[in-house]
Amino acid sequence: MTPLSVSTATPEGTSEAHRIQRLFIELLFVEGTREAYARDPLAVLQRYLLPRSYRSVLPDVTSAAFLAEARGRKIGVAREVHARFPNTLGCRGLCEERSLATSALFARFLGSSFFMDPERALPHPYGIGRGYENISKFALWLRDAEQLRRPGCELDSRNSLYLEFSIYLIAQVKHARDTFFERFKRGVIWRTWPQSEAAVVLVTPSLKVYRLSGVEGERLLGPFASADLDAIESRLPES
Amino acid sequence: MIPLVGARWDDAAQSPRFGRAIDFGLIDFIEVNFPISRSEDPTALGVPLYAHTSNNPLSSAHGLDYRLAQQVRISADAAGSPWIGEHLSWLSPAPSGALGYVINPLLTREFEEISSRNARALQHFYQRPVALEFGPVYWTNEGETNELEFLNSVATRADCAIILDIAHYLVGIRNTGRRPYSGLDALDPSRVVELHVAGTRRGSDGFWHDAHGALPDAETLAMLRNCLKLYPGVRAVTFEHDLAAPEDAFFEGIREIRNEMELA
Repeated sequence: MTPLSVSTATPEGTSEAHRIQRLFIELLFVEGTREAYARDPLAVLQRYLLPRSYRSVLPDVTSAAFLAEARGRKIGVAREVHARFPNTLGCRGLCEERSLATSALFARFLGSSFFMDPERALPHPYGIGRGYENISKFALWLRDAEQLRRPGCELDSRNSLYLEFSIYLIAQVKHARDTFFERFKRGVIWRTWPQSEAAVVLVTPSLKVYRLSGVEGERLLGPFASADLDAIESRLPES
Repeated sequence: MIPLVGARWDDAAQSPRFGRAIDFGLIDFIEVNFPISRSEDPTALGVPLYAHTSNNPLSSAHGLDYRLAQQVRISADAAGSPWIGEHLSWLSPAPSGALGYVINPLLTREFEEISSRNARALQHFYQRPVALEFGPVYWTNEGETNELEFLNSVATRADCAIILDIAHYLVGIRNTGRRPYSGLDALDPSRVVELHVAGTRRGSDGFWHDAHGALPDAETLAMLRNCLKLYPGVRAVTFEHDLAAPEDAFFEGIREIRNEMELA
């Protein structure tokens, strides 16, 4: 059974308005929540600490109309993500935005706190805060979901994701209002093998890619620490 | 007063075609959709700037995050924007962030009150009129208020203006089986200051969607003409068109809009 969303917000301490807003949005994006509500709406309302009367204001989640809206929204997110990670997704056989939108991988992403919780994302480059773009949400989620920072991870997945994410991050430097992106002004690095200092990949601001081993690579680890994709965390204080 | 004709501007890549449209006398203003990057300067096009954003969730139970509103206010003040376009929407289940496109709120009294409160607060923050817009509708619940009544009620309670997005309206009535022009009399004509015009498309599932890559169809253009009569206070008509669509189509769309306005 597909799980309900992994929500970091606890129902307690929020108003009914907050909770119905959350539930409706999850019905649009999270298959597990929608399936559970279709099977037993009163049980889901109870889980969200909502009275039964809200059933009359929520849509029929099995209706063609609601599913059309939900599908359109997922395709919109998939379009944004696929445009940035075509190779990373292509390696998984998800060569088009529509195949991504209907995939189990994407369903897991949409049901995760990385998608729903803005604090899991990087700042928006235009200075309006976190959680306003789905690029960093997806990159940080996939890194976590596939444990790409652990020794023994799938190296092709790691390198493909990091390369495409580094292109996005470097592209924000010139135009960003948020100073968070200044850390990438000399480029982005990551260790070729997780937690190993044997070799380092460097992507320069002009998008040249170098693999540096030995002393050359080790020399980058200190000065480029804040631009190391293994170290980037969504809750880093903004510089 | 003849309404001005403008087009929606999202980023600097659109500026060359906008510049040509301005040179041809097709565009009177640009509607800039905030936020924009620090390196972009749409005022360089040399025509009036109308401020707009779809990233303030005015219907959110969490209230507003003012970081974007601060950016919008600065630009609106500098440009003397006559109003600031905003959406009655949700964007996420959290106090900030957005999951993608605007999400229509549930049309309950509770969210009517929340929307009114947020709209009043934002208008006070801006010290400038706010014009409210509603997104495309896919379903309705029997017996409940419709999106136009909701929009008008919030606009009245918060003393805001209204943007009627004709494409959104048409998508809504087509998807829910309502008659053309039904519900438009719910809008107070004195509050409708702007019309949005864009293309629509029908998906393989039979449902309609807002489509900025398409040109407005005949029904949309006829509705524009009739809405100008229904709402004589309209001061601006904005064409929404994707950069990815051909430049010729951009010019064609604006010309068609101008033709309809002459017939109105």
